[in-house]
Amino acid sequence: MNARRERMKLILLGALIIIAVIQTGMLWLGGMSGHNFLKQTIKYEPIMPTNIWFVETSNSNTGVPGALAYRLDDTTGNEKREYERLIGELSKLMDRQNEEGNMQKTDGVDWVKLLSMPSVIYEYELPIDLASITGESQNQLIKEKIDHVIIYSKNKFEKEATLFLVNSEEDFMYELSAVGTFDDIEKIYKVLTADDLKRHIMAYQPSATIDKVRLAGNSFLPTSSKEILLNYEVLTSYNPIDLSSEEGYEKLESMINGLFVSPLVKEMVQQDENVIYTEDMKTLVVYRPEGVIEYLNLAPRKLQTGTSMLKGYNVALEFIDRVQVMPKSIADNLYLADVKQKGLDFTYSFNMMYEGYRLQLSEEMKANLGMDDLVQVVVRGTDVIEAHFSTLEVVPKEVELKALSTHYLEPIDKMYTLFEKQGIEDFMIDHLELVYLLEGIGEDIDMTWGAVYDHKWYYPLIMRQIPGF
Amino acid sequence: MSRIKYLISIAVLGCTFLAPNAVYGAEIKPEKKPVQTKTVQTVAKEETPTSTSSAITFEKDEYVRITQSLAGKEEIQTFDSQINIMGEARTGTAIEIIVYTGDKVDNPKATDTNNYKTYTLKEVGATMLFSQLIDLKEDQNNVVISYSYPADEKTGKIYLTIIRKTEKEKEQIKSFIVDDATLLRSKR
Repeated sequence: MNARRERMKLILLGALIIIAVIQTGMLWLGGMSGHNFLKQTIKYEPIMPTNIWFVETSNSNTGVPGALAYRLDDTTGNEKREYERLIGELSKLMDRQNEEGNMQKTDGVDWVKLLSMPSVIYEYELPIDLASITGESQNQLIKEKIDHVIIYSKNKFEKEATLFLVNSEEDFMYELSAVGTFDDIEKIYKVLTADDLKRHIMAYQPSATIDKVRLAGNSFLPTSSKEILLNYEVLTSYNPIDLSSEEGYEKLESMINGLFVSPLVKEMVQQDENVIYTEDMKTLVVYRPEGVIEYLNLAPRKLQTGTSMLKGYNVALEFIDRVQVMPKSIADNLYLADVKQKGLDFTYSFNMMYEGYRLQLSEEMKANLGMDDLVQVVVRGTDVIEAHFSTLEVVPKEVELKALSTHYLEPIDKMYTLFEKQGIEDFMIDHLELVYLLEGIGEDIDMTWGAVYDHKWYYPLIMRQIPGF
Repeated sequence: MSRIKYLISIAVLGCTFLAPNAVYGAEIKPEKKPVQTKTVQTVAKEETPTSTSSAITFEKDEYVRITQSLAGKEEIQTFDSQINIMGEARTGTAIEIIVYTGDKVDNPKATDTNNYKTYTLKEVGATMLFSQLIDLKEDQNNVVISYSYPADEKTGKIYLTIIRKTEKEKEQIKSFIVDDATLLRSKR
């Protein structure tokens, strides 16, 4: 009797275990793409667009479309949340396409067509892969890199829209139509193009709708019916680290401590004007009095697999956030200026924006700092192996507002004259926009027109800034 | 007895191998995408202009041209609150744009009711282009573009009439739009 009982128990136990294993397996794997039963796909922080534009086309009988655009950054309020919502909307749209997917590729970007209907334009600093745009590492829609995403809709996003993925440098685009609702885009579009808001924010004219202007692709040019284009805050800069005093060293230490694994064991050495901190075999930090902190990871892990632009970007962001070297006012306003890949390493360069306008470093400043950008982070796999930080703080110069009334044609005229003199015919400016120009520490930072030609920035209203002439 | 135990252990082990990932969670490796071996640099591309960027030329008697969309129209109708007056002119031309509401008059002057506004543009530069955003009031806006070219001592005027439709008319039209998906909807 007992033996039988034992056997029964055993069989029952065995059966239950087997059922449990199978059921768990089914639950775990059934319908899910992997073992992440918490999330469907791994979501990373996407690379944010430099600007998001809402384009309103003219409602007139002139026959030729005209358009004016408005920038999300120019509105007040919680812009970051709007950016995230709009990216979310974009990701959903692309997800739907992932399944239906039939994208048509066209060579040559027809900006006039793209600007012919109400649209939202996500403008990126440089061409990046789709995964970096949506934040989803598995995004396989297309292989090429994109620097503009345009969604336009004849009826202002109520029912349908057409999505364009554009690479303005390589001059191609993908087009696909989507049916459905785009609540977030529709709502924000309505708000931004409402008459009472438009009166108070800057209007931008898309250069592609201006006949015969010497701008390649499309730049959104600030324009106004008023005499003054805009009133801007004058800024100034300073280096908060003053090594002539004890407090200076304390300030420096407070800024760099985040870079060390155990900041208490770091050692300091003064070498000429530089201050060097080391953490045995782990970390090396050099402070240069020009206002630069350089970080070197002495023991990066050996890498087996490569990383992606998106993942590396997230590593860089997390690093900047964690080490807290930069003051919050700058860290919160950084934007990705460039990404370069060398072997397995990704170098992310960041610069700063103030109230939506880029802070540009003059050639002189770049030479002084020994850096082209305010922050540079080199990522290998999941490690940061090197980083450079500028210690400069940029703040409004008391309460000084200055007026800028230069029409956009003026810098174009100046560039044109200069190039004509050089005998360069048929030249095209790649990009034109209003920027803050930092020329020297402690000097006024004013706003001026910046033009990009052949990947270099020129400031035509300040003649001496033009190199090579 | 031991044989049953044996069988059961085999069965359990078998299941462990059948659904192994359920028992010990292995990490999913993302699909290997083609590795970018090419350096991702902003490509320095030869800029070949796609538009006809050849120089703007003028006939002997031509001095100022307004853009296609605005020229040659008796009356421009629009719903927009602003419009861009754009055109081409010889380098050195001085342009002034006057906008006033109400009926068109021969010598417009500022009055209390005609929203008279003057836009003085900067002298036309090397690009030979001019552009000015102007505000439009509801109903009739009369635009006078006066230009002067000192070198030839030439002056002239170009007239435009722009009718901006009122908000009421905008709403009226909106409510008549028939939804092509569902013809039963008559109002949005």
